Amino acid sequence: MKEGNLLLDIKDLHVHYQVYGGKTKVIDGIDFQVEAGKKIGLVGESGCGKTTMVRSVMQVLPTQARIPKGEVFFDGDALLKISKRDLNRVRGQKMSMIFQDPTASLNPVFTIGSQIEDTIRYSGMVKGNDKKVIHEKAIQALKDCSMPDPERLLKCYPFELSGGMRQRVCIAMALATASKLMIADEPTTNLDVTIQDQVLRLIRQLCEKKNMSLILITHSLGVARMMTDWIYVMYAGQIVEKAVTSRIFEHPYHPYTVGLMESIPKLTGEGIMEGISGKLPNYLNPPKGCRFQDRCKKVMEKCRNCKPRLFPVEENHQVACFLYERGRAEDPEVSHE
Amino acid sequence: MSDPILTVKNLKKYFPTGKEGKFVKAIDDVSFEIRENEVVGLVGESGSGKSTTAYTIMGMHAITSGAITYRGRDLSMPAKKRPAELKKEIQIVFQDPGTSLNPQRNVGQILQMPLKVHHIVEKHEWLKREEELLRLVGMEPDTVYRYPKSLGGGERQLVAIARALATNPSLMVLDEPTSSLDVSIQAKIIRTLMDLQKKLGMSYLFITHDMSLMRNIADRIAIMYLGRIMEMAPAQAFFENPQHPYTKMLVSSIPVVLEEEEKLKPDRVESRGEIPSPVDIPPGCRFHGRCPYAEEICRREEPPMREVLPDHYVACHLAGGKNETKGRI
Repeated sequence: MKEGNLLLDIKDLHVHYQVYGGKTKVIDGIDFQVEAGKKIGLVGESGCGKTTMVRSVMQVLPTQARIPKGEVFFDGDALLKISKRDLNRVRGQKMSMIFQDPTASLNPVFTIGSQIEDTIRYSGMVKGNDKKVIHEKAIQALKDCSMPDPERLLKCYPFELSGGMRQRVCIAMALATASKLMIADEPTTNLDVTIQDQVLRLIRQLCEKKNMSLILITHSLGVARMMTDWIYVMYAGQIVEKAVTSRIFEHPYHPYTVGLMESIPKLTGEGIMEGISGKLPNYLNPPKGCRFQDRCKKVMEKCRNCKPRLFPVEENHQVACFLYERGRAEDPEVSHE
Repeated sequence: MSDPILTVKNLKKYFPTGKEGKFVKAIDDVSFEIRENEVVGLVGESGSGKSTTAYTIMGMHAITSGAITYRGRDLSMPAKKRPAELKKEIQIVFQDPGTSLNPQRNVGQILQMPLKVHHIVEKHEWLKREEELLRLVGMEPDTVYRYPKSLGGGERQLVAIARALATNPSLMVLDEPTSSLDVSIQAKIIRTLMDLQKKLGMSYLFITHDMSLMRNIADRIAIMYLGRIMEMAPAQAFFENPQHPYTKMLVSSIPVVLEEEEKLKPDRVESRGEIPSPVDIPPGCRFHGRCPYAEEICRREEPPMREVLPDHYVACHLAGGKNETKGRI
């Protein structure tokens, strides 16, 4: 990946949670890059650390979380080191996040209007916080999301809207201030498939129109395929495979990705699939070596002792599995271009 | 074609809203049948009345009008008034095993309840039977001493399935049994369910919003919208030659992972609008507000269910006749 184009660069990130009984090592050495204007999918099952990872980008981790190691660079700022004030500026004006449950992320006792306007006010993007300008910006944000009758909508409370509409309001709120990166954390998991289709199309159109980057977190490979340019597959706090979207669906390499693909019911009606036996390892005491070893059918001696790095298998395709070591260029920082 | 095991005829379930003369029409004239050894998939968006249909069949809601018959015997009364020997023939598995299993009882006690209530086996054989049930769903027999809290989501759902199997039912109602689970775990549960269905010769009413899953397991599929069945057909015909515009919209909205699947989708019917409130159901065809093909007649008249192809029923004025909505093939 070209250095100049990088918008977000996460290097060797570790996140631990301090819990009763010890430290859970939830994120274990992740490298993650987002180029300007690109849409990245972060795919994995529940509990694999997807949300923790993006929350550490936004710096909105729960209080018991610690980042013992790692660096996060965003648009020239080292997010883990800059002051709170600078951080707020970055968060307010350059990136924003959409959460899974729009009902929980909107305050039920304030109107949509006051919530969007507050977001704009505290982002500091309107000089002198002129009320009229803020109001206009809020209306524009709703219009951008092709919402009918924005004036009336601003006076509504969240409970007056349907789930799909609430999520659109959240998107509008995110877009009202962000200019470079949007993080969508399972934005459509609670929505029906027809509404999901509408919301995803909206997110894609808006990102393309504003030339924003997108990190889309999802557990559905189908959604990721529809939306993204690159896909990172995550398992138990580690990136196990990363590739250009089209490649990963044509030829998944990592045993976990393969299992995941097989588990998905297909429209071709080939019958019911195998699934992956076992469950996620305990984060308090994760196994030495590859974290997928206990569920892997192709496990080798080496997997039990050493942690695999990302090995390049093809152009724009890297896999963290010793099956693909091949003795080829062992530098994980292989060019993406 | 085998005889129906369960017949639902003109079923209606209205819930009062508190306002005079206003009702939530959760089920509004639904008729279908489930045949012997058959898996019937009931799909639809949230708010379409799928779960209410399941609960009404189980007798958890008193029906407003219509009839439910099980092998020729009337089942239209609520669960309390149903004869016990009929109750044990129909069992249900709920969506969320976290809330459908009692957290204060261990797995053994959970499985004991149906054995006790329905006098399935003598008291001294309870434990043996519990262990058999667990083996049947592919779990270790010593799970009887564990509590739901210590089990994973998938294992809990297997316990819920074992509990439903305890009375040797001939019909199982599965209300989104895997929608709260990850795909890799879902695969295992579905496999277990389908193996059991073949082995024990049961029929399933499988409720889900996952169309791709239905494609793989259902014999026949019914699609519900705002309390009505819009289309009902054998699984293959349902996907290869969908007739109703709503079916097409739903199938073309599914995010898929393979290029081959993309080719199987019908011509794209762009999704628009949202499901209206079940209190004020639109006049005429209830889908006309979201339908790209809607004509004058759709706004005026409610379309009846018609058999457009053998065993393929559609409630649409335009299906099968005019070109615009004609099947892809």
